[in-house]
Amino acid sequence: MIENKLNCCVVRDLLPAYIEDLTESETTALVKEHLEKCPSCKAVENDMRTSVPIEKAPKRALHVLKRVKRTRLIAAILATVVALGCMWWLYDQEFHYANTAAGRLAAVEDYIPQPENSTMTHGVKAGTPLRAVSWAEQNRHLFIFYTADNEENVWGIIHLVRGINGKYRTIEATYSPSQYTGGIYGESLTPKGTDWRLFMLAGYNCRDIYTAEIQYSANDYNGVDRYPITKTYEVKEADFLWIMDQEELMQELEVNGESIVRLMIDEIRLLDKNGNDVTSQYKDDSENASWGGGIGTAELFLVYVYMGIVALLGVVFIRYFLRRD
Amino acid sequence: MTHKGEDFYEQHVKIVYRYLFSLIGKADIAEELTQETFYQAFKSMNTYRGESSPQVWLCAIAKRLWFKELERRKRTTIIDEEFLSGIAAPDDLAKDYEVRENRFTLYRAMQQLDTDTREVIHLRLAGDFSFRDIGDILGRSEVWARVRFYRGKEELAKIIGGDRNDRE
Repeated sequence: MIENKLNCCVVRDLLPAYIEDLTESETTALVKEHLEKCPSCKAVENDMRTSVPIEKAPKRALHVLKRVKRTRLIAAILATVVALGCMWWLYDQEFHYANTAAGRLAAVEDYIPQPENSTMTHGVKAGTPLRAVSWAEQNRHLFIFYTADNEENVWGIIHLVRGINGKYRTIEATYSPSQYTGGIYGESLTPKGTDWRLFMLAGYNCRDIYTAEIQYSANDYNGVDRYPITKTYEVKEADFLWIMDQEELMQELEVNGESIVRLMIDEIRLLDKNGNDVTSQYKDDSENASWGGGIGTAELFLVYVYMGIVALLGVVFIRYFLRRD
Repeated sequence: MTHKGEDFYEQHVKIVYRYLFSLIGKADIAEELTQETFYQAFKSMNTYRGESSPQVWLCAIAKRLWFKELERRKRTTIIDEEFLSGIAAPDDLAKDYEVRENRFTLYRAMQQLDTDTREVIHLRLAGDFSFRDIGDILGRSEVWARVRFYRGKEELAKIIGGDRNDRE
Protein backbone atom coordinates (compact mmCIF):
# COMPACT_ATOMS: atom_id res chain seq x y z
CA MET A 1 0.00 0.00 0.00
CA ILE A 2 2.78 2.43 0.96
CA GLU A 3 4.65 1.35 -2.10
CA ASN A 4 1.60 2.02 -4.21
CA LYS A 5 1.22 5.52 -2.76
CA LEU A 6 4.84 6.24 -3.50
CA ASN A 7 4.22 4.98 -6.99
CA CYS A 8 1.31 7.38 -7.37
CA CYS A 9 3.49 10.32 -6.32
CA VAL A 10 6.22 9.37 -8.74
CA VAL A 11 3.77 8.77 -11.57
CA ARG A 12 2.12 12.16 -11.02
CA ASP A 13 5.53 13.82 -11.06
CA LEU A 14 6.28 12.04 -14.29
CA LEU A 15 2.97 12.87 -15.94
CA PRO A 16 3.96 16.21 -17.54
CA ALA A 17 6.94 14.61 -19.27
CA TYR A 18 4.91 11.49 -20.05
CA ILE A 19 2.17 13.49 -21.77
CA GLU A 20 4.76 15.21 -23.90
CA ASP A 21 6.41 11.89 -24.78
CA LEU A 22 9.64 12.92 -23.15
CA THR A 23 10.01 9.85 -20.90
CA GLU A 24 12.19 6.83 -21.69
CA SER A 25 10.24 4.03 -23.35
CA GLU A 26 10.66 1.84 -20.29
CA THR A 27 9.31 4.57 -18.02
CA THR A 28 6.48 5.21 -20.44
CA ALA A 29 5.48 1.56 -20.29
CA LEU A 30 5.58 1.58 -16.48
CA VAL A 31 3.48 4.76 -16.22
CA LYS A 32 1.00 3.39 -18.73
CA GLU A 33 0.69 0.20 -16.79
CA HIS A 34 0.14 2.12 -13.55
CA LEU A 35 -2.49 4.39 -15.10
CA GLU A 36 -4.49 1.39 -16.28
CA LYS A 37 -4.68 0.11 -12.76
CA CYS A 38 -4.98 3.39 -10.80
CA PRO A 39 -8.21 5.36 -11.52
CA SER A 40 -7.16 8.37 -9.40
CA CYS A 41 -3.92 8.81 -11.33
CA LYS A 42 -5.86 8.27 -14.57
CA ALA A 43 -8.18 11.12 -13.50
CA VAL A 44 -5.19 13.38 -12.92
CA GLU A 45 -3.86 12.52 -16.36
CA ASN A 46 -7.23 13.32 -17.92
CA ASP A 47 -7.32 16.66 -16.09
CA MET A 48 -3.86 17.45 -17.35
CA ARG A 49 -4.88 16.59 -20.87
CA THR A 50 -8.01 18.74 -20.93
CA SER A 51 -7.83 21.43 -23.47
CA VAL A 52 -8.23 24.95 -22.18
CA PRO A 53 -10.07 27.14 -24.71
CA ILE A 54 -7.77 30.13 -24.59
CA GLU A 55 -7.65 32.23 -27.72
CA LYS A 56 -4.39 32.22 -29.67
CA ALA A 57 -2.81 35.52 -30.60
CA PRO A 58 -4.24 36.55 -33.97
CA LYS A 59 -1.69 37.37 -36.67
CA ARG A 60 -0.85 41.02 -37.00
CA ALA A 61 1.22 42.82 -39.58
CA LEU A 62 3.32 44.68 -36.96
CA HIS A 63 4.79 47.15 -39.43
CA VAL A 64 8.08 48.76 -38.70
CA LEU A 65 6.71 52.16 -39.62
CA LYS A 66 4.29 52.12 -36.70
CA ARG A 67 7.23 52.48 -34.40
CA VAL A 68 7.11 56.11 -35.32
CA LYS A 69 4.45 57.65 -33.18
CA ARG A 70 1.36 58.82 -34.97
CA THR A 71 1.76 62.41 -33.80
CA ARG A 72 5.27 62.51 -35.22
CA LEU A 73 4.02 61.11 -38.48
CA ILE A 74 1.37 63.82 -38.64
CA ALA A 75 4.02 66.45 -37.84
CA ALA A 76 6.21 65.08 -40.63
CA ILE A 77 3.33 65.14 -43.09
CA LEU A 78 2.53 68.70 -42.04
CA ALA A 79 6.18 69.70 -42.49
CA THR A 80 6.11 68.19 -45.98
CA VAL A 81 2.94 70.04 -46.85
CA VAL A 82 4.27 73.34 -45.48
CA ALA A 83 7.62 72.95 -47.28
CA LEU A 84 5.96 72.07 -50.58
CA GLY A 85 3.48 74.91 -50.04
CA CYS A 86 6.31 77.40 -49.47
CA MET A 87 8.17 76.15 -52.53
CA TRP A 88 5.01 76.40 -54.58
CA TRP A 89 4.41 79.90 -53.26
CA LEU A 90 7.94 81.01 -54.15
CA TYR A 91 7.55 79.51 -57.58
CA ASP A 92 4.14 81.07 -57.98
CA GLN A 93 5.58 84.47 -57.10
CA GLU A 94 7.78 84.13 -60.16
CA PHE A 95 5.44 82.30 -62.47
CA HIS A 96 2.61 84.54 -61.53
CA TYR A 97 0.46 85.42 -64.50
CA ALA A 98 -2.32 83.29 -65.91
CA ASN A 99 -3.03 83.48 -69.61
CA THR A 100 -6.36 85.21 -69.09
CA ALA A 101 -7.44 88.74 -69.93
CA ALA A 102 -6.90 89.78 -66.31
CA GLY A 103 -3.61 87.88 -66.04
CA ARG A 104 -2.20 89.41 -69.22
CA LEU A 105 -3.20 92.93 -68.17
CA ALA A 106 -1.64 92.38 -64.75
CA ALA A 107 1.59 91.26 -66.41
CA VAL A 108 1.63 94.40 -68.55
CA GLU A 109 0.77 96.72 -65.67
CA ASP A 110 3.38 95.18 -63.37
CA TYR A 111 6.15 95.10 -65.93
CA ILE A 112 5.91 98.05 -68.25
CA PRO A 113 5.63 101.25 -66.14
CA GLN A 114 8.86 102.77 -64.89
CA PRO A 115 9.37 103.10 -61.17
CA GLU A 116 8.00 106.37 -59.75
CA ASN A 117 11.44 107.87 -59.15
CA SER A 118 12.96 106.78 -62.46
CA THR A 119 15.13 109.35 -64.19
CA MET A 120 14.83 107.73 -67.60
CA THR A 121 13.49 110.11 -70.15
CA HIS A 122 11.94 107.48 -72.35
CA GLY A 123 9.49 104.82 -71.32
CA VAL A 124 6.11 104.59 -69.74
CA LYS A 125 5.44 106.67 -66.66
CA ALA A 126 3.72 105.04 -63.70
CA GLY A 127 -0.02 105.51 -63.85
CA THR A 128 -0.24 105.50 -67.65
CA PRO A 129 -3.30 103.56 -68.85
CA LEU A 130 -2.14 100.35 -70.50
CA ARG A 131 -3.82 97.80 -72.68
CA ALA A 132 -2.97 94.17 -73.26
CA VAL A 133 -4.19 94.20 -76.82
CA SER A 134 -3.54 90.73 -78.13
CA TRP A 135 -1.40 87.70 -77.53
CA ALA A 136 0.06 84.64 -79.17
CA GLU A 137 1.69 81.56 -77.75
CA GLN A 138 4.40 79.40 -79.20
CA ASN A 139 5.50 76.33 -77.26
CA ARG A 140 5.89 77.57 -73.70
CA HIS A 141 6.43 81.16 -74.72
CA LEU A 142 3.70 83.74 -74.48
CA PHE A 143 3.90 87.05 -76.28
CA ILE A 144 1.65 89.92 -75.32
CA PHE A 145 1.23 92.99 -77.49
CA TYR A 146 0.53 96.04 -75.35
CA THR A 147 -0.07 99.71 -75.97
CA ALA A 148 0.22 102.64 -73.63
CA ASP A 149 -2.17 105.53 -73.83
CA ASN A 150 0.44 108.27 -73.55
CA GLU A 151 1.86 111.06 -75.69
CA GLU A 152 4.42 108.86 -77.36
CA ASN A 153 1.91 106.07 -78.12
CA VAL A 154 4.34 103.56 -76.71
CA TRP A 155 3.78 99.96 -77.72
CA GLY A 156 5.73 96.76 -77.42
CA ILE A 157 5.82 93.04 -76.95
CA ILE A 158 6.22 91.29 -73.61
CA HIS A 159 7.76 87.86 -73.63
CA LEU A 160 6.70 85.41 -70.90
CA VAL A 161 7.55 81.78 -70.23
CA ARG A 162 5.17 79.20 -68.80
CA GLY A 163 6.16 77.39 -65.59
CA ILE A 164 5.10 73.98 -64.36
CA ASN A 165 2.21 75.61 -62.50
CA GLY A 166 0.68 76.63 -65.83
CA LYS A 167 1.31 80.32 -65.17
CA TYR A 168 3.77 82.67 -66.80
CA ARG A 169 6.81 84.65 -65.81
CA THR A 170 7.81 87.88 -67.55
CA ILE A 171 11.20 87.63 -69.25
CA GLU A 172 11.61 90.72 -71.34
CA ALA A 173 9.76 93.49 -73.09
CA THR A 174 10.30 95.96 -75.88
CA TYR A 175 9.26 99.62 -75.96
CA SER A 176 8.84 101.73 -79.01
CA PRO A 177 7.13 105.05 -79.53
CA SER A 178 4.79 105.33 -82.47
CA GLN A 179 3.40 108.03 -84.69
CA TYR A 180 0.21 106.11 -84.95
CA THR A 181 -2.68 105.57 -82.55
CA GLY A 182 -3.61 102.29 -84.13
CA GLY A 183 -2.94 100.09 -87.12
CA ILE A 184 -0.20 97.59 -87.60
CA TYR A 185 3.18 97.45 -85.89
CA GLY A 186 6.11 95.24 -86.76
CA GLU A 187 8.95 93.94 -84.65
CA SER A 188 11.70 91.39 -85.02
CA LEU A 189 12.55 89.52 -81.87
CA THR A 190 14.87 86.79 -80.69
CA PRO A 191 13.25 85.66 -77.42
CA LYS A 192 15.64 85.04 -74.55
CA GLY A 193 16.22 81.36 -73.97
CA THR A 194 15.40 80.37 -77.56
CA ASP A 195 17.21 80.41 -80.86
CA TRP A 196 14.14 81.57 -82.71
CA ARG A 197 14.25 84.56 -84.95
CA LEU A 198 10.75 85.80 -84.99
CA PHE A 199 9.00 88.53 -86.84
CA MET A 200 5.81 89.81 -85.32
CA LEU A 201 3.02 91.84 -86.76
CA ALA A 202 0.71 93.33 -84.19
CA GLY A 203 -2.61 94.94 -84.97
CA TYR A 204 -4.55 97.37 -82.86
CA ASN A 205 -7.88 99.03 -83.65
CA CYS A 206 -7.98 97.66 -87.18
CA ARG A 207 -11.75 97.44 -87.32
CA ASP A 208 -11.99 99.47 -90.53
CA ILE A 209 -8.90 98.04 -92.16
CA TYR A 210 -9.30 95.22 -94.66
CA THR A 211 -5.84 94.91 -96.11
CA ALA A 212 -2.39 96.09 -95.18
CA GLU A 213 0.47 96.62 -97.58
CA ILE A 214 3.75 96.24 -95.84
CA GLN A 215 6.97 97.32 -97.43
CA TYR A 216 9.89 95.39 -96.01
CA SER A 217 13.53 96.04 -96.46
CA ALA A 218 16.24 93.53 -95.84
CA ASN A 219 19.53 94.67 -94.36
CA ASP A 220 22.88 93.05 -94.88
CA TYR A 221 25.83 93.09 -92.52
CA ASN A 222 26.81 96.56 -93.54
CA GLY A 223 23.39 97.94 -92.78
CA VAL A 224 22.75 98.65 -96.40
CA ASP A 225 19.12 98.39 -97.45
CA ARG A 226 18.52 95.84 -100.10
CA TYR A 227 15.53 94.32 -101.72
CA PRO A 228 12.65 96.55 -100.76
CA ILE A 229 9.68 94.16 -101.03
CA THR A 230 6.01 94.75 -100.53
CA LYS A 231 3.60 92.15 -99.25
CA THR A 232 -0.14 92.47 -98.80
CA TYR A 233 -1.95 90.98 -95.84
CA GLU A 234 -5.64 90.47 -95.31
CA VAL A 235 -6.78 91.84 -91.96
CA LYS A 236 -9.69 89.98 -90.39
CA GLU A 237 -9.48 90.96 -86.73
CA ALA A 238 -9.40 94.34 -85.05
CA ASP A 239 -6.63 93.29 -82.64
CA PHE A 240 -4.12 90.56 -83.33
CA LEU A 241 -0.59 89.35 -82.89
CA TRP A 242 0.94 87.29 -85.67
CA ILE A 243 4.15 85.44 -85.05
CA MET A 244 6.17 84.55 -88.09
CA ASP A 245 9.47 82.84 -88.48
CA GLN A 246 11.94 85.29 -89.98
CA GLU A 247 13.52 82.68 -92.22
CA GLU A 248 10.15 81.60 -93.57
CA LEU A 249 9.14 85.19 -94.08
CA MET A 250 12.33 85.84 -96.05
CA GLN A 251 11.63 82.86 -98.20
CA GLU A 252 8.13 84.12 -98.82
CA LEU A 253 9.60 87.47 -99.75
CA GLU A 254 12.16 85.69 -101.88
CA VAL A 255 15.09 87.44 -100.23
CA ASN A 256 17.61 84.71 -99.86
CA GLY A 257 21.23 85.11 -99.23
CA GLU A 258 23.54 84.58 -96.37
CA SER A 259 24.39 88.22 -96.03
CA ILE A 260 20.84 89.16 -95.01
CA VAL A 261 20.67 89.57 -91.26
CA ARG A 262 17.66 91.65 -90.55
CA LEU A 263 14.23 92.38 -91.92
CA MET A 264 12.70 95.75 -91.24
CA ILE A 265 9.46 97.46 -92.07
CA ASP A 266 9.87 100.61 -94.06
CA GLU A 267 6.30 101.55 -94.52
CA ILE A 268 2.84 100.27 -93.80
CA ARG A 269 -0.17 101.28 -95.83
CA LEU A 270 -3.55 100.55 -94.35
CA LEU A 271 -6.44 100.12 -96.80
CA ASP A 272 -10.18 100.11 -96.10
CA LYS A 273 -12.71 97.84 -97.79
CA ASN A 274 -12.75 100.02 -100.93
CA GLY A 275 -9.00 99.88 -101.20
CA ASN A 276 -8.53 103.50 -100.13
CA ASP A 277 -5.45 104.37 -98.15
CA VAL A 278 -6.60 105.32 -94.63
CA THR A 279 -3.19 105.28 -92.99
CA SER A 280 -3.27 108.99 -92.27
CA GLN A 281 -6.37 108.59 -90.10
CA TYR A 282 -4.27 106.69 -87.57
CA LYS A 283 -1.45 109.17 -87.70
CA ASP A 284 -0.69 111.24 -84.61
CA ASP A 285 1.06 114.31 -86.00
CA SER A 286 2.07 115.61 -82.59
CA GLU A 287 4.41 112.71 -82.10
CA ASN A 288 7.65 112.12 -83.92
CA ALA A 289 9.89 110.56 -81.31
CA SER A 290 12.06 107.75 -82.45
CA TRP A 291 13.74 105.68 -79.82
CA GLY A 292 13.56 102.08 -78.89
CA GLY A 293 14.23 100.14 -75.77
CA GLY A 294 13.74 97.02 -73.80
CA ILE A 295 13.90 95.61 -70.33
CA GLY A 296 14.75 92.18 -69.09
CA THR A 297 14.36 90.14 -65.94
CA ALA A 298 17.17 88.53 -64.00
CA GLU A 299 17.62 84.80 -64.19
CA LEU A 300 15.59 82.46 -62.05
CA PHE A 301 18.69 81.42 -60.14
CA LEU A 302 17.81 83.18 -56.88
CA VAL A 303 14.32 81.68 -56.76
CA TYR A 304 15.77 78.21 -57.16
CA VAL A 305 18.22 78.97 -54.35
CA TYR A 306 15.34 79.99 -52.07
CA MET A 307 13.35 76.92 -53.07
CA GLY A 308 16.39 74.77 -52.38
CA ILE A 309 16.76 76.26 -48.91
CA VAL A 310 13.09 75.61 -48.16
CA ALA A 311 13.39 72.04 -49.44
CA LEU A 312 16.46 71.46 -47.30
CA LEU A 313 14.72 72.82 -44.20
CA GLY A 314 11.74 70.62 -45.00
CA VAL A 315 13.91 67.53 -45.25
CA VAL A 316 15.64 68.39 -41.95
CA PHE A 317 12.28 68.73 -40.21
CA ILE A 318 10.88 65.56 -41.74
CA ARG A 319 13.95 63.60 -40.72
CA TYR A 320 13.69 65.04 -37.23
CA PHE A 321 10.06 63.99 -36.89
CA LEU A 322 10.60 60.56 -38.40
CA ARG A 323 13.66 59.79 -36.32
CA ARG A 324 13.48 56.45 -34.61
CA ASP A 325 15.09 56.57 -31.25
CA MET B 1 18.34 54.48 -36.62
CA THR B 2 20.72 52.03 -38.10
CA HIS B 3 19.87 49.02 -40.18
CA LYS B 4 20.72 46.96 -37.13
CA GLY B 5 17.72 48.41 -35.31
CA GLU B 6 15.36 47.22 -38.01
CA ASP B 7 16.80 43.72 -37.83
CA PHE B 8 16.44 43.75 -34.07
CA TYR B 9 12.81 44.75 -34.47
CA GLU B 10 12.06 42.13 -37.11
CA GLN B 11 13.71 39.47 -35.00
CA HIS B 12 11.82 40.09 -31.79
CA VAL B 13 8.58 41.81 -32.68
CA LYS B 14 6.53 38.60 -32.92
CA ILE B 15 7.71 37.39 -29.54
CA VAL B 16 6.90 40.66 -27.84
CA TYR B 17 3.50 40.80 -29.49
CA ARG B 18 2.67 37.22 -28.51
CA TYR B 19 3.89 37.86 -24.99
CA LEU B 20 1.72 40.94 -24.65
CA PHE B 21 -1.25 39.13 -26.13
CA SER B 22 -0.80 36.37 -23.52
CA LEU B 23 -0.88 38.99 -20.81
CA ILE B 24 -3.74 41.04 -22.17
CA GLY B 25 -5.82 38.84 -24.45
CA LYS B 26 -6.59 41.78 -26.71
CA ALA B 27 -4.83 41.99 -30.07
CA ASP B 28 -5.26 45.74 -30.55
CA ILE B 29 -3.85 46.71 -27.20
CA ALA B 30 -1.09 44.12 -27.57
CA GLU B 31 -0.13 45.56 -30.94
CA GLU B 32 -0.09 49.10 -29.63
CA LEU B 33 1.99 48.18 -26.62
CA THR B 34 4.37 46.20 -28.85
CA GLN B 35 5.20 49.40 -30.69
CA GLU B 36 5.54 51.24 -27.41
CA THR B 37 7.81 48.50 -26.06
CA PHE B 38 10.22 48.83 -28.96
CA TYR B 39 10.05 52.59 -28.71
CA GLN B 40 11.10 52.36 -25.07
CA ALA B 41 13.65 49.64 -25.86
CA PHE B 42 15.38 51.73 -28.52
CA LYS B 43 15.40 54.69 -26.18
CA SER B 44 17.21 52.74 -23.47
CA MET B 45 19.27 50.55 -25.77
CA ASN B 46 22.47 51.96 -24.29
CA THR B 47 21.53 50.82 -20.78
CA TYR B 48 20.95 47.24 -21.92
CA ARG B 49 24.00 45.31 -20.79
CA GLY B 50 23.17 41.94 -22.24
CA GLU B 51 22.79 40.33 -18.82
CA SER B 52 19.62 38.65 -19.98
CA SER B 53 18.65 37.59 -23.49
CA PRO B 54 17.06 40.35 -25.59
CA GLN B 55 13.60 38.77 -25.53
CA VAL B 56 13.62 38.53 -21.75
CA TRP B 57 14.65 42.15 -21.56
CA LEU B 58 11.96 43.16 -24.06
CA CYS B 59 9.29 41.14 -22.25
CA ALA B 60 10.21 42.84 -19.00
CA ILE B 61 9.72 46.23 -20.65
CA ALA B 62 6.45 45.04 -22.17
CA LYS B 63 5.15 43.81 -18.83
CA ARG B 64 6.07 47.06 -17.10
CA LEU B 65 4.23 49.00 -19.81
CA TRP B 66 1.14 46.85 -19.50
CA PHE B 67 1.05 47.34 -15.73
CA LYS B 68 1.41 51.06 -16.24
CA GLU B 69 -1.42 50.94 -18.76
CA LEU B 70 -3.54 48.95 -16.30
CA GLU B 71 -2.93 51.59 -13.64
CA ARG B 72 -3.96 54.30 -16.05
CA ARG B 73 -7.10 52.41 -17.01
CA LYS B 74 -7.99 51.76 -13.40
CA ARG B 75 -7.80 55.45 -12.71
CA THR B 76 -9.92 56.42 -15.67
CA THR B 77 -12.34 53.53 -16.11
CA ILE B 78 -13.54 50.66 -14.07
CA ILE B 79 -12.27 47.51 -15.72
CA ASP B 80 -14.98 44.91 -15.67
CA GLU B 81 -14.35 41.23 -15.68
CA GLU B 82 -15.75 40.88 -19.14
CA PHE B 83 -13.02 43.10 -20.48
CA LEU B 84 -10.33 41.14 -18.69
CA SER B 85 -11.73 37.77 -19.70
CA GLY B 86 -11.48 38.85 -23.31
CA ILE B 87 -15.13 38.53 -24.19
CA ALA B 88 -16.48 40.92 -26.73
CA ALA B 89 -20.16 41.72 -26.59
CA PRO B 90 -21.71 39.15 -28.91
CA ASP B 91 -24.04 40.03 -31.75
CA ASP B 92 -26.24 37.01 -31.28
CA LEU B 93 -26.89 36.58 -27.59
CA ALA B 94 -28.54 33.16 -27.71
CA LYS B 95 -25.94 31.59 -29.96
CA ASP B 96 -22.97 32.93 -28.09
CA TYR B 97 -24.39 32.37 -24.68
CA GLU B 98 -22.72 29.04 -24.16
CA VAL B 99 -19.35 30.20 -25.41
CA ARG B 100 -19.65 33.24 -23.23
CA GLU B 101 -20.59 31.21 -20.21
CA ASN B 102 -17.75 28.77 -20.77
CA ARG B 103 -15.17 31.46 -21.19
CA PHE B 104 -16.38 33.31 -18.21
CA THR B 105 -16.19 30.16 -16.12
CA LEU B 106 -12.68 29.60 -17.39
CA TYR B 107 -11.69 33.14 -16.58
CA ARG B 108 -13.04 32.80 -13.05
CA ALA B 109 -11.20 29.53 -12.60
CA MET B 110 -7.95 31.02 -13.94
CA GLN B 111 -8.23 33.76 -11.36
CA GLN B 112 -7.99 31.13 -8.64
CA LEU B 113 -4.61 29.89 -9.86
CA ASP B 114 -1.44 31.44 -8.59
CA THR B 115 0.13 34.15 -10.77
CA ASP B 116 3.03 32.07 -12.09
CA THR B 117 0.83 29.19 -13.16
CA ARG B 118 -1.68 31.50 -14.79
CA GLU B 119 1.07 33.23 -16.71
CA VAL B 120 2.59 29.94 -17.85
CA ILE B 121 -0.79 28.74 -19.16
CA HIS B 122 -1.38 31.98 -21.03
CA LEU B 123 2.09 32.05 -22.51
CA ARG B 124 1.75 28.46 -23.63
CA LEU B 125 -1.76 28.63 -25.06
CA ALA B 126 -2.29 32.20 -26.14
CA GLY B 127 1.32 33.07 -26.93
CA ASP B 128 2.24 29.64 -28.31
CA PHE B 129 5.63 29.83 -26.59
CA SER B 130 7.74 26.75 -26.00
CA PHE B 131 8.37 25.70 -22.39
CA ARG B 132 11.99 26.67 -22.89
CA ASP B 133 10.98 30.23 -23.88
CA ILE B 134 8.51 30.43 -21.02
CA GLY B 135 11.21 29.32 -18.61
CA ASP B 136 13.55 32.00 -20.04
CA ILE B 137 10.98 34.75 -19.83
CA LEU B 138 10.00 33.92 -16.28
CA GLY B 139 13.57 33.26 -15.22
CA ARG B 140 13.00 29.58 -14.49
CA SER B 141 13.77 26.27 -16.14
CA GLU B 142 12.04 24.50 -18.97
CA VAL B 143 11.00 21.65 -16.64
CA TRP B 144 9.57 24.11 -14.16
CA ALA B 145 7.42 25.64 -16.90
CA ARG B 146 6.19 22.26 -18.12
CA VAL B 147 5.26 21.01 -14.65
CA ARG B 148 3.58 24.35 -13.84
CA PHE B 149 1.55 24.09 -17.01
CA TYR B 150 0.23 20.60 -16.42
CA ARG B 151 -0.33 21.12 -12.71
CA GLY B 152 -2.24 24.26 -13.63
CA LYS B 153 -4.43 22.39 -16.08
CA GLU B 154 -5.12 19.72 -13.51
CA GLU B 155 -6.08 22.39 -11.01
CA LEU B 156 -8.29 24.17 -13.54
CA ALA B 157 -10.13 20.99 -14.37
CA LYS B 158 -10.76 20.41 -10.69
CA ILE B 159 -12.03 23.94 -10.10
CA ILE B 160 -14.32 23.91 -13.11
CA GLY B 161 -15.47 20.35 -12.43
CA GLY B 162 -16.12 21.28 -8.80
CA ASP B 163 -18.14 24.26 -9.91
CA ARG B 164 -20.27 22.08 -12.13
CA ASN B 165 -20.79 19.54 -9.38
CA ASP B 166 -21.79 22.30 -6.99
CA ARG B 167 -24.41 23.53 -9.33
CA GLU B 168 -25.85 20.14 -10.06
